[in-house]
Amino acid sequence: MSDPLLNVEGLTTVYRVGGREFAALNDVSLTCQAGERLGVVGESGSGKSVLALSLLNIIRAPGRITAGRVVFADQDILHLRRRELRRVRGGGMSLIFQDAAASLTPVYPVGVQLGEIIRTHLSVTRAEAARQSVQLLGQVGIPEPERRLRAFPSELSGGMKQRVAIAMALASEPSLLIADDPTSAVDVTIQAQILELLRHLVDERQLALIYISHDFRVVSTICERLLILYAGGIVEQGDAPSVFNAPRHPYTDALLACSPSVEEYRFPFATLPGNPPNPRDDPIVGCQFHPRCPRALDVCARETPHEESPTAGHSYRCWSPLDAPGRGSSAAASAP
Amino acid sequence: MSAPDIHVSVKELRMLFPVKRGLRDRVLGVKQWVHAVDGVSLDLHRGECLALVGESGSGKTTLANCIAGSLVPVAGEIWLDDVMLARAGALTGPSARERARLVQVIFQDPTSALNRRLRVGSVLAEPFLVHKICNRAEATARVEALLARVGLPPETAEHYSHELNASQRQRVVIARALALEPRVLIADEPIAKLDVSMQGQILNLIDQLRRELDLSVIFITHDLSVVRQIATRVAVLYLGQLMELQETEAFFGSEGHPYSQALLRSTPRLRVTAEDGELHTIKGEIPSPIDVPPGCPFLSRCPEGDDDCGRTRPPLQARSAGGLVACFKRAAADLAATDGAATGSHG
Ligand SMILES: Nc1ncnc2c1ncn2[C@@H]1O[C@H](COP(=O)(O)OP(=O)(O)OP(=O)(O)O)[C@@H](O)[C@H]1O
Ligand SMILES: Nc1ncnc2c1ncn2[C@@H]1O[C@H](COP(=O)(O)OP(=O)(O)O)[C@@H](O)[C@H]1O
Ligand code: SF4
Ligand code: SF4
Ligand SMILES: [Mg+2]
Ligand SMILES: [Mg+2]
Repeated sequence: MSDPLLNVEGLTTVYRVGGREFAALNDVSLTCQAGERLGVVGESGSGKSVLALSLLNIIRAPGRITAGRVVFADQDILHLRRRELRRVRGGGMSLIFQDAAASLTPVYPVGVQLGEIIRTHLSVTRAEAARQSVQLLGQVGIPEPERRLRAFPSELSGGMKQRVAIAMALASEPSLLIADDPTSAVDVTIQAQILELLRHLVDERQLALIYISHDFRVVSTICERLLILYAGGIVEQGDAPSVFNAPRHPYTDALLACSPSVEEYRFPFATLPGNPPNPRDDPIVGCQFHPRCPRALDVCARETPHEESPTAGHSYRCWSPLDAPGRGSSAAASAP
Repeated sequence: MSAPDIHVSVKELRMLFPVKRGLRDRVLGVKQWVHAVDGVSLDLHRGECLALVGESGSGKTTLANCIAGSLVPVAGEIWLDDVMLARAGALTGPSARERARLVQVIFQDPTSALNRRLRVGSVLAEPFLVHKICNRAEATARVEALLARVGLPPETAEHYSHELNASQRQRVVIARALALEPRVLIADEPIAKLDVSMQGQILNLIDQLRRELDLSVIFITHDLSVVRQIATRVAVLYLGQLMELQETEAFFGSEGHPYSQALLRSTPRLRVTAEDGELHTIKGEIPSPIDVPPGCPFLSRCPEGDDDCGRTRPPLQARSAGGLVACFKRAAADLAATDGAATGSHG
């Protein structure tokens, strides 16, 4: 296989809270191939946004990246000088923020903001940038794009703002788009529109996509591979069908059970008792999930589980994983 | 089937807000209105959980605020049993205090709903003291009982709200709403700010409280997956108008209002592969509630609409399969079906 577009090894990002440091992202390794659509799922506080910011090396104080490597298109992102970094951020990797307002400045019309990005990345004339802005707004499904160029962000609905944010992320012609829960503040109807739009854009431009959400249902409509984050660490990753049909990690299993279904009646709701670790408390030794885990063994409270990958394309970190499906799951049989 | 026991009755309710006007409009004397709730009639049955669904801006919160008495309707009436709570231009019947003991609302964001500087114990004791239900010493015992009701340990009283997680905070908000033992609970998107992993706990709690305390619940949401699990009936609102009112099972099992169907198809569901089934979307966004068109409010986005739908407002009509739907096409289909093979269409 060719080198992945993005290769992350041992990425660790710490924040200082109340006089002590805690790892918001802990020893995270992942890859993303060109054109691949990777989903990141985790509860609030699991480190999803910290991961997105770390990949772009834009972590601000009181946080800092303390270990690991991020190699994107053969460039070592964590060791680039500021100017080179800006180019990468634009030209290769783009981020759509969780909160559309974070991508947009309230004081300028959206056309000015979009034109600015286009001109820095493609060094074209002002007129050409304006022409491309209109084209981009049209491509992200904004009606009457010429008129909307003059609109201020506050004049747009939540859905329209998120579309503009997508246009801005595309303006620098990236090869990897990172979308940090872009639909968490919009209605299901607009969410479906945005998912459809992203699916279309990613297909058409053959972009790689990292789509972040706390909702399995949402990532399942757009991603082919999944990565589950808990307390800053990846607990399971694998091809979507494999993770959905046969989750091996108890946390993944519990999260899937909590997903409400529009197709069947299953009351009462499955729940996941307890809380994720609180950064203010003493760090948890062993598996981070052990205080909430129905399958915990003694060893879980002592030692961090290693990554196991008995089948190609699916790995997990757990001392007592759920059973693999009985049929055709023999690791030996599928090994080369 | 026995006649439903009607607890709250909303009749032809209208709530308009004046649009903030620019200088030009003021000079020209143009007066414009936001039609937030535009002629809604609906009943809440005793002990049921009625889901109120619709996109943001459809009027859900405004309707809730009218029932709770924090807004005075422009037209229509609201009744609770045989007491009139509001009519055009006035709140009637009970005083604000008495009303608080009948209807309580819990809002979407538990963080902003709670005073950061007060301990949970003080937050929960407040309703008892303000309403002079008991003294401070007795309030402590009542607070403990409230915490137990919503599944929180007694120590929670000593904490500040920011020390709790979102789900625990929402429990505190629910506990506060229960302090005055209301008969009607309106939950306005109570899980929208919670992780999927936390939502189930709150939904189970609301359902348990409804049954144990015999509450009548209006549950506002835009996630239909949740509605399927928790509601007895579903009311669909669009541009301040009622599009459909239906028993939950029938709502998910039959061809309802085109807007309901659009909402259903947009609801995310688990797919084993991203190619697993087409992603259905509905075009456009909810239009401005300022210039509401004369015909069907959903016409601009409706895949089945035609010119006829734009002339008059479709009335809310009983379906042959039960429930009420405001749509010309559905009414015509029902008529054709009942006419049977005879003529096939109506005259
Ligand atoms: N600026 C910061 N200062 C201190 N701690 C931070 C900061 N940013 C993030 N953290 C901490 O890092 C952890 C991971 O946060 P992150 O924002 O990545 O969560 P998330 O998974 O994106 O959650 P959500 O679903 O709520 O967006 C949390 O414990 C959070 O409190
Ligand atoms: N106090 C107010 N002043 C002016 N307009 C309002 C006010 N409250 C609500 N609206 C408008 O009324 C409509 C319905 O709003 P709302 O009841 O909040 O809908 P929902 O809860 O369904 O999102 C929206 O267009 C909203 O902007
Ligand atoms: S390692 Fe132990 S505690 Fe952690 S998920 Fe596996 S069984 Fe549960
Ligand atoms: S009345 Fe016409 S426009 Fe309105 S929902 Fe029915 S078919 Fe659609
Ligand atoms: Mg985040
Ligand atoms: Mg609302």
